[in-house]
Amino acid sequence: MGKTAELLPGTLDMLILKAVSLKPLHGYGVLLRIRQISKDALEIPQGSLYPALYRLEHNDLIAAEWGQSENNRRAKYYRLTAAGRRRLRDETAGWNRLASAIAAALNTTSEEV
Amino acid sequence: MFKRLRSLFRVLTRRRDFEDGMTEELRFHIEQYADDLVQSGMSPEKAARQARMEFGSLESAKGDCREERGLHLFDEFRRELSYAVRLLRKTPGFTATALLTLAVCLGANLTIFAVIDSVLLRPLPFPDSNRLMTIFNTYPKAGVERDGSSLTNYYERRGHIPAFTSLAIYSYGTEIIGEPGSTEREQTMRVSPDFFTTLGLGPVIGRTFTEEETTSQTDHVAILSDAFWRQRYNADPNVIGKQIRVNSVPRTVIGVLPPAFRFLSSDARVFLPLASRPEDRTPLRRHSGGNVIQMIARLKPDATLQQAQSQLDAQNAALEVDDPQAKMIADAGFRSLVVSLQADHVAAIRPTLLLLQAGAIALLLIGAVNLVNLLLVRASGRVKELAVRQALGASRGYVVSEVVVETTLLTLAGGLLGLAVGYGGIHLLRVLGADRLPLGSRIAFDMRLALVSLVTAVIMGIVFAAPVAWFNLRRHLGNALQSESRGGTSGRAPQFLRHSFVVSQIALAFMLLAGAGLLGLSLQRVMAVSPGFQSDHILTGQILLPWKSCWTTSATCRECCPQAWLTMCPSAATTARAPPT
Repeated sequence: MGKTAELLPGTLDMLILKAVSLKPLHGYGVLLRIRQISKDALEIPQGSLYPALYRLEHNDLIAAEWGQSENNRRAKYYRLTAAGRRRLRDETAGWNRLASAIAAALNTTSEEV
Repeated sequence: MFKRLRSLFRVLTRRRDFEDGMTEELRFHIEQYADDLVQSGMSPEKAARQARMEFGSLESAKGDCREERGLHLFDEFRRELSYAVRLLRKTPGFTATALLTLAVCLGANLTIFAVIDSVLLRPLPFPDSNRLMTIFNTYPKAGVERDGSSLTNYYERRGHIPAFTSLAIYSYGTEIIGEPGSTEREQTMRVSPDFFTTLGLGPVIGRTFTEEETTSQTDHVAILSDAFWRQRYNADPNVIGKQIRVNSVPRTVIGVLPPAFRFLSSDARVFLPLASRPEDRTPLRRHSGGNVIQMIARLKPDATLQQAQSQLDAQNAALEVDDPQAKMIADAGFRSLVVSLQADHVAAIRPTLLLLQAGAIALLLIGAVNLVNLLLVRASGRVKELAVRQALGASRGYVVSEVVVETTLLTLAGGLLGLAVGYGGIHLLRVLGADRLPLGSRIAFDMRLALVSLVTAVIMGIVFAAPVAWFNLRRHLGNALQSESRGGTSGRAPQFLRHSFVVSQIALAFMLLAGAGLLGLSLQRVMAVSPGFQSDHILTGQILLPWKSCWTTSATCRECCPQAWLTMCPSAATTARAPPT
């Protein structure tokens, strides 16, 4: 396991939306998927995962449905809604703009000023 | 926003499912994690402990989840509600007193307001009824405040006052209706052909009267009210064209009015054309109204009452130029006044009703001050408890919301009881003859009234909470913990507050007492006006005979009436006949 980074405030929702956009997942699956797609670089505090899921569901960005897990247990699966898909697209674009602006700012050398 | 409300509603209606689902979901997470740890070589017990530890507090995660769904406010509210219920049940004496006070005060207000609502506030049952006006002649300097309108007025004004779309006249009466042997006295109205057009509500079956039907030779037609049609004709749809005997003269039924038709407070069930002879319509008869015929008119949508009044004044002035009686009429201070029909109809009762409502509100205020006082006394008994809770971390917002929940619960329950009292009060008014008031038969208990009184109850609850919450929050905790303890005396400020409530309570009660006394005195004075003769031991009665039969046998009639009285009432010493009015 490499170095893990602290999550910036507000980014957890975005990551959850991304995780469930690939495939409907249960809560624990969301945790594993975020770890997997961030290549173990991001560690989610487990206690704050569920409030975030409930918040997103409350805002109709994801929808929940009970289903069977891989080992045949009842589990609550989350999938992206149309509103969630729009939000994910907007947030991704916003994040990319912010990240490239900050990267450009941080990479400025003294000659360029 | 709408989606969130829907989500909240879904969770609230299936709260048990939500809680169970949340518990199951979190347990699944922890067990799944533990399984994964076991697979990576950890012992099951250690894995279970590790999983639970990494997850953190289960209860705080659940609390966070509930908060995200907006549930915590409801949970808090429910807790405060059950606490308030518990407190109120612990002091049944106080609770019963408070509920009784509220029920009586709110019920009294509801009853009076029901009367005000139906008499003063609710519009008449006609389209755009606020445009309906009444016009009457007044001769104040001759001592005649109100003289109705004359036939001449009607024929001169009709179509000549631009501010009115239409103008009509009517008079009330009673007629004997039915075939000989099965007659009944019925309330009737004689109306001009444009009466129903002016009101905007006419027969649903058949037609209204025509201009040709306004002479004594051609007026043999009648329009029936819905109730009369149902009762006498069994709601026969083919009633049009049937004969009906009015004062033993046959008339043809030409129309039936809708069930909702009711002109002001009239109980008229049969409507006849207001017929007249040409000589009754001449300028000589212009001032012979005698308060028998009344006039109504409908204002044009863009016209005002003032415009109508000035047009009427102008016409009156123009007509008086060649009136031989002009001098006399002017000396009598003659004017024709335009007044809103509903306002005019209820003008006499209006101040009395407003006074009664003011009295009821004063009663409510006294009750309210009384209750606040009781609540404060109760709060001072709980000063220590509250101080301890605040010291232990209860926030000011919590203390306030707890008081608000408690007082609102109390007033709302009182309000519900008040609905029952009000319902009974309205029923009592009916038994006492409220339908004798103008528009009094409309007085009824309905949802709007219930809503108004429950909203009042909630507002009262919030208002009551203010002084109690202030009382609870005002003091320093340290002082509170020490003062009013056993052996201590109560603080000066709460005492002052309580005393000022007592003073205002007495002041209000005094005001109410004085008001009621004055009202009673003036009522007594109104009733004590001497009629100018010795009125005890005199009975009065009326015998109504069809005009036509009296006409043919007038001599016998004059003889028979006093005779009939003596027969019916042998204990009477003498009888006298008053001329028909």
